[in-house]
Amino acid sequence: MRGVKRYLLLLALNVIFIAWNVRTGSVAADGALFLEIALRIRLPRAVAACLLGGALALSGFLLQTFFANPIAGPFTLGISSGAKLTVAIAMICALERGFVLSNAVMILTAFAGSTLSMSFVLLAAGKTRRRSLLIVCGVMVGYLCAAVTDFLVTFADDANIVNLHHWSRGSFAGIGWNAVRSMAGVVIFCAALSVLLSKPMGAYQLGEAYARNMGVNLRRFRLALILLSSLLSACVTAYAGPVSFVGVAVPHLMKRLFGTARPLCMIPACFLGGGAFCLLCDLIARNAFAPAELSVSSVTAVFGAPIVISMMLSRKNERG
Amino acid sequence: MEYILRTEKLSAGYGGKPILRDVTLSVRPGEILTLLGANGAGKSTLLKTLSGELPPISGAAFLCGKPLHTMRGGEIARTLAIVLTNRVDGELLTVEDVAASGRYPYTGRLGVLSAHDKEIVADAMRRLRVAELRTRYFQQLSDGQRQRVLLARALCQEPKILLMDEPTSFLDLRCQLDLLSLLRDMASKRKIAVILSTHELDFARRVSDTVACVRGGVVERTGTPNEILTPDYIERLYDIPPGRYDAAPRYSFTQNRQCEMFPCHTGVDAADFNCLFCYCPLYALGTRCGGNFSYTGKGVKNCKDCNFPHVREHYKAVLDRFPELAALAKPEAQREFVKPEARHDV
Repeated sequence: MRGVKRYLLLLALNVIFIAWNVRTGSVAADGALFLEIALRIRLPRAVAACLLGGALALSGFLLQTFFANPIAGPFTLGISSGAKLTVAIAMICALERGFVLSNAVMILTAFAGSTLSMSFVLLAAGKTRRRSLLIVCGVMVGYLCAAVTDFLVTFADDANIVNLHHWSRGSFAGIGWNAVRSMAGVVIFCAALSVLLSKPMGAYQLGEAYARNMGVNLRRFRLALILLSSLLSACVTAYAGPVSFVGVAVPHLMKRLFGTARPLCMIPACFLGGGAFCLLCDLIARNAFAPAELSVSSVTAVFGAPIVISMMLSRKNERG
Repeated sequence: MEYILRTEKLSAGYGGKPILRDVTLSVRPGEILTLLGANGAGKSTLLKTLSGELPPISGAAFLCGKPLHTMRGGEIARTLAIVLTNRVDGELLTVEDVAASGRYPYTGRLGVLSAHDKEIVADAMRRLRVAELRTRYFQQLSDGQRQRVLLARALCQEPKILLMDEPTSFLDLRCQLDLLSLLRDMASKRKIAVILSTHELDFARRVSDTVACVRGGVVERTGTPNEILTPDYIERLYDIPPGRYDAAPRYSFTQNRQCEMFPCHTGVDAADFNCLFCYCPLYALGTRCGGNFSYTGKGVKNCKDCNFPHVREHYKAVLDRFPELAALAKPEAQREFVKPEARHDV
């Protein structure tokens, strides 16, 4: 049972990275103060990185299955950016009126944004059969949303905007236990539903005609897949801003590690792998230039981009 | 249930615009029906309508007596399987994964295979000789191997009817002959009906029980391959100027010096010889063999126009199809075939 060993390895990595994240930090303290910092700040942040990383990787896997394209992911298709835009708008409105957004409202606004940009990409999908064009559409939507967000952030003149600016570049900072509780609810719910979708996903991997012939209700299946992946990436964006490359790189790493693309095997693997990947990146983001903190998106890009490039090159060597 | 699939005045097309009108076709268990026609004539559209992918524009298709468009997906999947030429682009899918996906309509919520399912998958892979490729990735296979894996996948669905869209494209001659005997075998042993489309006339002639020709938006002619595939009609079907299509010899012949008709085929290069009727196990049955034949002047049976696919592995399938002949033909069927090299040395 080599598969079980690989799952255990991923699980162990998650535990080790959480422990490491909790132990290290820019503030050197011991005794009661350390305990306070570790439990109140570092542990929820680590748990959040783990959950959100898993959510991103899973969302990426769902999208890659949907578009049958290895480069599809919440970031490349502009879904993260759409969520980022609506959350930024909601945050600025809330700040101006002087109240703080609740967790549920944050997730809902992000979900609205992500489904909005997703539906735009799907509209394009209805117009063209070429999948490479869809990715181009997604990237363009992403740039557009990012530009509008930047514009809004630049001109929103509140002291709290520092926080917003930080968030808009991608960071796990400042996530407390309350937020962890609500994100855990959403993420675990979505992950459980994706496990239920793994059977039709397996059929869909052979192509639409085969899936239909085997009795998959394509319309319902597609809708479920889209809603799930949007909700997952919306949840991530609501708390951590747009985090790049995890959604593309981790599913690919897991496929190579397990040597299969079977959904029932890949869903837990992507979840665990994404968690470990984000924990490691957050560890580096926090400690590489401490006390200054990098945006986690830059760290994931540094590790993710080479993986994506090597993936594209290695695919060339396979028989088409 | 006489027919597996039957259509009544079926019109097929996209977006309410019919490409084919008034199609009335039927296939019985174990029957192979071939759709012929020029590119764009509507063969694929018809197949898509018959598989339930496209709704009929008017008329209806009946699968085992039930109107196809009222049936649920799972119900269709347990009766009808498709094999497509478009490449499966599933990344990192092993041969076993692809074959096992055919069990979809039979497995539970999460698609986990039971011991019974695994047995069926293993059996299907054995039948199509892909069992030893089990752990290979599908994308790394040759086109002939892929075709066999997709057929194994279809068999795992335990269908009563198989729809194949241009199964011969991408296949070289050897793989085509291979496919031919596999299909005849499935049809005769498992009573699976097959509807396929192809551009390979020779293949169509050998594999089909019935040929349906699609031209000008209708099924223009239906009948046995020998009735239909005359040079004149082929020219009409593909809009070839009269006299341009030269009916190539149906079979190439191998010199067999023991053959009672030797030297019957003069002017043929010895390297191309493949005189199958010279050792047809049914030859000795004379008029009862069931194939088409005529008598030469000397009263010797001439099998040149035989409509059985004369592939060596196929003889067994032919004998299974005609059990009363099998008993008579036994000693002939068991005759050792002379290896081609040995024959040329004579």
